[in-house]
Parts: sequence; C-alpha cells; structure tokens
Amino acid sequence: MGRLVLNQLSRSFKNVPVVKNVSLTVEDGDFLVLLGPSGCGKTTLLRMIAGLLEPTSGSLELDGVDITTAPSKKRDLAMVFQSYALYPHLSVAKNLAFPLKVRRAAKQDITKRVETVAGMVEIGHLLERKPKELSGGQRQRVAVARALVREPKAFLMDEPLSNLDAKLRTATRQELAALHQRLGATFIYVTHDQVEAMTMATKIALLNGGQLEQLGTPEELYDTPASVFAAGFLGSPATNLIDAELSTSGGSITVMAPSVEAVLWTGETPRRDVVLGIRPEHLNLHAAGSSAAAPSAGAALRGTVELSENLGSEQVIYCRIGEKRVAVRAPRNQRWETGTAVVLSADTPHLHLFDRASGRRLEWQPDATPAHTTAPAQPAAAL
Amino acid sequence: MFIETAGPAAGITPAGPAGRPEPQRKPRRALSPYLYILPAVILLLVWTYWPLGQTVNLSFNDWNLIPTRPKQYVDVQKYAKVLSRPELHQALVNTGLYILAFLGISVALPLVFALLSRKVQGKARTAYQALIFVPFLITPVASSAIWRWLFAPDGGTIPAIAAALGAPMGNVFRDPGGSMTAVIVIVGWQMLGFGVLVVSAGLAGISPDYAAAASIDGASGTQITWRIIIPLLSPSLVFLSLMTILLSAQWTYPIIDLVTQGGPGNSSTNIYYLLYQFGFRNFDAGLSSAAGTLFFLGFGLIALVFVELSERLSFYDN
Repeated sequence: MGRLVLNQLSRSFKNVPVVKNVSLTVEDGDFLVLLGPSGCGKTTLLRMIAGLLEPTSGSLELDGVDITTAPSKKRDLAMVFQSYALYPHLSVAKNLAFPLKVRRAAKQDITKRVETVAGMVEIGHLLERKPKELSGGQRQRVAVARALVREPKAFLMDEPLSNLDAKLRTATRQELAALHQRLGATFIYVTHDQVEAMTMATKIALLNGGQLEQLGTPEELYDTPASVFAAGFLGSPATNLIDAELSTSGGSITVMAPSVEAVLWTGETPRRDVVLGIRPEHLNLHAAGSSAAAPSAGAALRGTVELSENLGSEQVIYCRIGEKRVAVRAPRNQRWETGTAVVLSADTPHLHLFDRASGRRLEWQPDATPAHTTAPAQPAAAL
Repeated sequence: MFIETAGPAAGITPAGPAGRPEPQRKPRRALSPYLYILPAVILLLVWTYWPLGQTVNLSFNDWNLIPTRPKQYVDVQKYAKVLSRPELHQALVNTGLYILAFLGISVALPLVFALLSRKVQGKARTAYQALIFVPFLITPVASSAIWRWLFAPDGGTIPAIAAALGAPMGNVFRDPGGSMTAVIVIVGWQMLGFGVLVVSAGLAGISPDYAAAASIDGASGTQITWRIIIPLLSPSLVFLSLMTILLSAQWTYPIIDLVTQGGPGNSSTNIYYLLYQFGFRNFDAGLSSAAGTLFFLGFGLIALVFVELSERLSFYDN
C-alpha cells in the first residue's frame, strides 16, 4: 500500500515561500510526476514527503497515518537522489545491503534480497565494485536497486535520469516505466523534462512558482491545459500563445488579433481579453490565396514564412503573424520558402482560450452559462 | 549493382602541423618550465637537502662545533654510541607517549567536537570554531608564560583549584610524574583547534545527500555517524594522524624548552629536544647528527606507510 495525501503543504526558506499550499492525493500504484521548471519547488515538495524537510504548514498522510512530523527513517519510503548518493566507501553489494542491515535483517535474507534486486536491474556482475568504478548508467541502476531492496510504501525519485546521456535516458525511462508496472508500487518522480513526465506518469502534478498549476493524466495536461503556463510548458515546440480579444460578431463568438481571426461557436459573450493557444501540430499551412486558405470555421492566421527547421522526421516552419512568431509542424515533403505569404488554419476543437488576467483556461458551455473558467482555485467567471 | 558510398571526404587537411604551422620551439621556451620550478628547487636544496646532506656527513665525524677545530672521521662510532645511550630510549618512549596523547587530543577529540558542533547552526557555529582555533595562533612563548602562571605552585589557578578539591599538587614542572602531563595539556590546548578545523573542513566537504539517503534507508543518527560520516571523513583523519605522528615531537619542542627543559631527569624530554641537547648543550655534533639521521629514516618509513594507508583508507567523495 502507498496512498499519500498532501494537505495544504507549504514551505518557506527565510520567509521566502517556495511551496505554497499544495494539496493532492497520490493513489496506491500511481506514478506521479512532479513537473515544473527549475525553482518551482518540486524538489522541496519531494524532500518534505521524504521527511528531509519539515513543512512550514500543512500536513502529510501516508496510508491514513499522519506523518507530517515523522522522521524519514520511520516513513518507510525509498528515494533515488539526483546525485545517486551511493555510499562511496561501500561496495555495490554493501550499498544494496545497507537499508536492510540498519534494520537488522537476517544475514541470509540480506544476501538473497541483494542478489534478487541486482538481477532485476542487471547489475549482478558489479556487486564487488566500488561506486567510483562504475559508469553513470551503472550508478543509476545501483541507486534504483538500493531503493528496491526493501519493499517501501512508495518510491521517491529526484531527477534520477538527469545525469545520463540522451540514449541511455530513453532506455532507462522505459525500464523505469516497466518496473513501475511490474511492482505496482507508488512512485513519486521529480523532473523538469516533459518527455519523462509524458511517457512515464499516470498522473502529472505541474508546479509553477511553488503552486500546483494542474493535476491530471498526461493526456489531460496536454489536451486541455488548465492555464497559459501549462499550455506553454508542455509540448515542443511550445504552444503558440497569442493575445487576442473575445467578442460576439454576427451571432457567433469570435476571437480577433492582428492578422488573426477565428469564428468559434454560435452564441453571445461580452468582450474579453484572452490568450489564444494553438499547438504547432494543429496548424495547417496553406499558400495565401489558395482555396483552402479561407476556412469558414476555426481560426485563420495570416503571415509570412520566416524560418524552417528540419528535425529529420518533420519540419517546423516559423511564420511571422502580426507581432508574433508562430510555429507550425509540417511534413518534410512540403517546401516553404522564406518570405512566402501563408495562411495558417486550425479547427475549433483545437483552439485553447485562456483569460488574459488570470491565465486560467476558458471552457465553452453552450447552455445556461455560456463559458466559465475551469480554474479550481479561481472563482468561476462567466463570459 | 550496388555502389558502396564513400565515407566523409578524406581530402580535407586535418588541423595540425600542415593546417597551422607549429612555431619553431625556441630554446628559451623549452627552458621555461624548468625556470618556473627553479625557485622552489633552489629553496629546497638550500634549506632542506643541503643541510640534510651535511647532517649525514657530520654523523660520521667527531666535532665539537668549534670552527677552528678540524672534524675527525670516526666511521659509525657515533651511531653505536647514540643507540646505547639510555637518554635516547627514554626520549623515544616519551615521544611515543606524546604521540599517543596527541592522537587523542588532536584527532579523536576534534572528531567529537566537530561532530557535536554540527548541531549548532549559523553564526554560533563559526564563533564556536573560531574560539577553539584561537589558541593555535598564540605563540608558544606566550602560551608557555601564561600556563606557567596557571600552574605556579604558589598562587597559580590550577593548584589552587586542585587544593580546594582536596588533591594538592606541587610544582608540576618539577614533578617527574607531572611534567609530561603539563606539556601535553599546554600543547594539546594549542593543537585541539587545528584538529577541529581540519575535521570541520572534512565534514563540510561531505555531501549532505549521503546522510539524507541513509536516513531514508532507515539508519538512525548514530548509525549514520558511524557507518557513513566517519568512514567518509577518513581522508581528514588519516591526514591528521600523519601530522600528529610526524609533528608531535616538533609541536612539543618549544614548550619543553620553555617550561621543563626536558626535566626533571629527562622525564618530559622528546627526541628533538634530545638532539638539541646532544648538539648544542654537549657540543657533540656527530652524536646529534647520527640521532637526527636515524629519526629522519624512521619518520620517513612511517610517512611511507601512511601514504600507502591513506590510498587504501580514503574513500573520496566524487
């Protein structure tokens, strides 16, 4: 079992708040990724869960037991550090045995368990080596094995892949995801890498400035970003974000910005400053003047091609739209010369609208209340 | 038909001798590395190796330090003589005792102090460490004078306290059982701060991740100290032990000279003080040099053993 409940958890350093009122529940067996840019408080949050830092306020519950003030050795958690923290004076076997030894497990049980986990992560041949005689990837495996050697209630991981090269990172990512499936245990994983978050997580907690920005499955975060920050953080190239004005025209909701116009749903709404978000893969490129260049619904952005980047599998075309540079993913077989006048189109379901002042997502509801913000913390604001 | 594609064009001249002609090495440039180390080499030769050679040379001669008197070659007689002198045995035993005492005072005690001072946070810790370190900066002459007052048989603070506690003490510096203890107390008081400084620096160099990892692994504070922190401190501890073994005789020399002159009856002397007595009290340069050469070889061996030991014992945190 490993069900963790964070309730209004906060932490300040010398009166500077680093984590602010974070509340979330990690169900048993979840792979929760704490995702966010550097300095967003994700590691601080993990260290509070681990018991290495005391929260300034709020509480923590593990399987129904309040562990807010429990010392880390009493929490029955295991952690993989970014630095791996392998004890440099102990051999790999002794590193793996350490958590069992300090709990005074029987000697033959320790030997057996060490061999089992060493086999699980394929480091059986390294048991007699010292950490300094291992490569980065091997050290990472030893660190994971040391966490696995007990059967803790949850595994905590602090950017465990950040010191590996790109190829090894991809391979290890898949192994960790497979390990999680096999063990069915609770994982809490800190990273700033959105690919790690998208590929491994069952749930992502996106943090920004110490606050929980959005909590949900990777699909929810990607498909329905709850805020401008969430839209801009996930995805590469990032979501195109354009300041625009929401209003009603001819019985339809429209979004207008310089060189941008979008006709959305039938209905009415008061004028409102918004941010329009469109993912690069949801934009279609047309030469200006072609028949497809004047869509009847959805958004149309007019501009010129500024730059194209060849990514191998596809290309990213950057277009100048008014003051903004907008990225579009396009197949490699299309050729777009710099300076070509183009129209970018996107369908209505792929347009994301955010309130410009609060940054929260706006959802269209055709019925009684035409639209409301989905912000859990913000009061619902009708359009 | 298949045509195998060629590798990257091989015609490009690699940057190197042809791409950028290497400037002709002028003799002055070839000399410059040697010129850089020359000052250090000269200083070492003049102040260390030349006197060392002279000492070895003197140890085979009989000479009373009077420049007008010629040296007389006596082969290994001086070595035979110095090895049979009871003072030498006494001085060796004393030096061993001093080393043992300082292994306690400048290695073990600083370890305890430094570990305990981790519990003190912020500026208070700096102040605490500074207070312990200050005695190390006081010259031996000044500290000897102060400790002589403190130990003075009439009116000294320490005998007064001892008397009040019902254990009257006389003049410790004249007491064969007490003189060495007094020297140890004075030198220990000075060296403790040095040890604390070295151990604290060693502690500061250990990543806090190890203790954090161990505590999540389920280790108690005591287990973390004994199984993680102290082994990781081994480079500092080996260094301090080596310093203590090699330099205890040097540390105690000025205090012995100022406070007890090795007495009473050689009870507080050490090997270096003995060298000084042989050479500059008895004016037997050969005897003193023979003893000096033997100690040099002995300490050289110990240093070699320690270098080997530190390679095996030290676990660098990388």
